[in-house]
Amino acid sequence: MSEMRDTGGGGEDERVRRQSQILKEKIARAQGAHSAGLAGGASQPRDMTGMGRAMRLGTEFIAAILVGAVAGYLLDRWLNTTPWIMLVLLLVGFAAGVLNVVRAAEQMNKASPPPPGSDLGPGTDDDEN
Amino acid sequence: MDPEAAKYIGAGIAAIGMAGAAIGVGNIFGSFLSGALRNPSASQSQFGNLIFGFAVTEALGIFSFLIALLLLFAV
Amino acid sequence: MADPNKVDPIHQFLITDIVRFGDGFAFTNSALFMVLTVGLILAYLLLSTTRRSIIPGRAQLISEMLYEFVANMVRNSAGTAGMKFFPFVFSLFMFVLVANMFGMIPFLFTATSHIIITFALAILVFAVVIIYGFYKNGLKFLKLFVPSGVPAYVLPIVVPIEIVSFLSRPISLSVRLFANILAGHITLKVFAGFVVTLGSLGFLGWLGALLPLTMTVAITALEFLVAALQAYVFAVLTSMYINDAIHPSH
Repeated sequence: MSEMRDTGGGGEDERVRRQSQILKEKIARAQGAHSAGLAGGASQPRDMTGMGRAMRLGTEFIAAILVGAVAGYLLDRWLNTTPWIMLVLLLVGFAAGVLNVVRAAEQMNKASPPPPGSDLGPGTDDDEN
Repeated sequence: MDPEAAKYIGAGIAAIGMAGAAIGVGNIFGSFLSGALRNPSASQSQFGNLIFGFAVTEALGIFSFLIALLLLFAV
Repeated sequence: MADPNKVDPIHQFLITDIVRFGDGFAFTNSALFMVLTVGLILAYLLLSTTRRSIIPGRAQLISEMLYEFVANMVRNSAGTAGMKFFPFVFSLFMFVLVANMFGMIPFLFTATSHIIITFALAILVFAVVIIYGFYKNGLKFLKLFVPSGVPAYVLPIVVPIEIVSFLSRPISLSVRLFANILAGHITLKVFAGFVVTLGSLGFLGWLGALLPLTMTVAITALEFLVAALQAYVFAVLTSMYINDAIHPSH
C-alpha cells in the first residue's frame, strides 16, 4: 500500500494502471485457488448438528419401511392376497432402510475423517515411542 | 369382549415388543461407540459388523411391528 | 383457548382462510406466506443486482454469496453437467430458506411446517430426476437399480430393495424438513409457555421463569441454525439425486 502512496503525485494514470495490475494478480490468484479447490474432488456435505444427523438416519430408515408397508397394503387390497405381499414388502422395505442408513453413514464418515495425528493403531507406524 | 376391540388391544401389545429392539439397538451403538473411542483405528473395519448387528436386532423389532400391522389390517 | 394462561403450542400451525372462493377452494394463510416468500426472493434479488457494480455493495454481496454457495454445491455434487439444474436447485434452496426464516419471525406462519408442502417439493424433485433420467439415458436409467459387481443370482433380491430404497427418497426428504421445522417450533412454544405460566405465579415464579426464558433464547438461536441447515440439506440432497439422473450407474 505504501508504494502506491509514494507515486501519489505522479499522475492519475500511473496510479490506476498500478492498481489494475494488483487487481489482476489478485484475480489470477483467486482463480487458481478456486480451480485447485475444485480439483480437490467432490467435497461431501459437511453437515450438521447431532440432532440433524440422528434425524437424517431415522427418517432414511423409517421412510423405506413405510414405503414397503404401504405399497404392500395397497397391492394386497388390489390383488386380494391379504396379507402376503405386505409381509414380503415390509421385509424388503426393512432391507432398503438398512441400505439407506449404511449409505448415509458412509457419507457422514467420509465427510469427517479421523483428525490427523490421532492414534492410528498398531498397523501404522507411530513415531511416538 | 368385542372381537374388534381384542384385535386393537392385541396390536397394541404386539407393538410393545419394539421396545426390546430399541434397547438392543441402543446397546449395540453404545458398545460400538465406547469401543471405537478406545481404538478409533479399528472402528472402520468393524463398521460392517455394526450394521449387521443393528440389522439383526432391528429385524426382531420389525417382526413385532409386522404382527401389529397384520392384526390391524389383515386379520 | 378459554384460559389465557394456557398456551397452545399447536395453534401456530392452524390454516385459516383469508379469501374464500366457492366450495373447498380458498386463499389461505399458508398460500399467502408462500406468495410472500417468492415475492421477497424476487424483489431482493432483482433490486440488489440492478446496479451490477463491479465492487458490490452489501446487498449485492449477499446475492453473490448465495449464488456462489449454491453454484459450488451443485458443481461439487453433480459435476459440471449438473449446472443445467442450477436454477432449479437455487430456486428450491431460496424458497425453503426464506420460508423457514419467515417462520422465525413471531406471529408469522411457517409454510414448511406442513408436510403437504414439503412433500410437494420432494415430489417435484423426483419428477425432475425420473423424467430427466429417462430423457437423457433412455432405458439405461434403470441401471440405477442394478448395482455393479453383484452376481446374477442375487439380483432378484437386490433389485426390489434398490427400488424401495429409491421410492423412499421423496418421503425421507420431505419428512426430514417438515419434522425438523415442526419439532423446533413446538419446542420453542412449549418453553415460551412455561415462562408465561411461571410468570403468573408471583415473585418466586418470576425467578423460576428465568430458566425457561434462557432456554427460549438458546432454542431461538438453534432454530435459526436449523432453518438454514435444513434448506442446505434439502438442496444438497436434491443435487445428489440429480447426479443419479445424470450418471445412473453406481
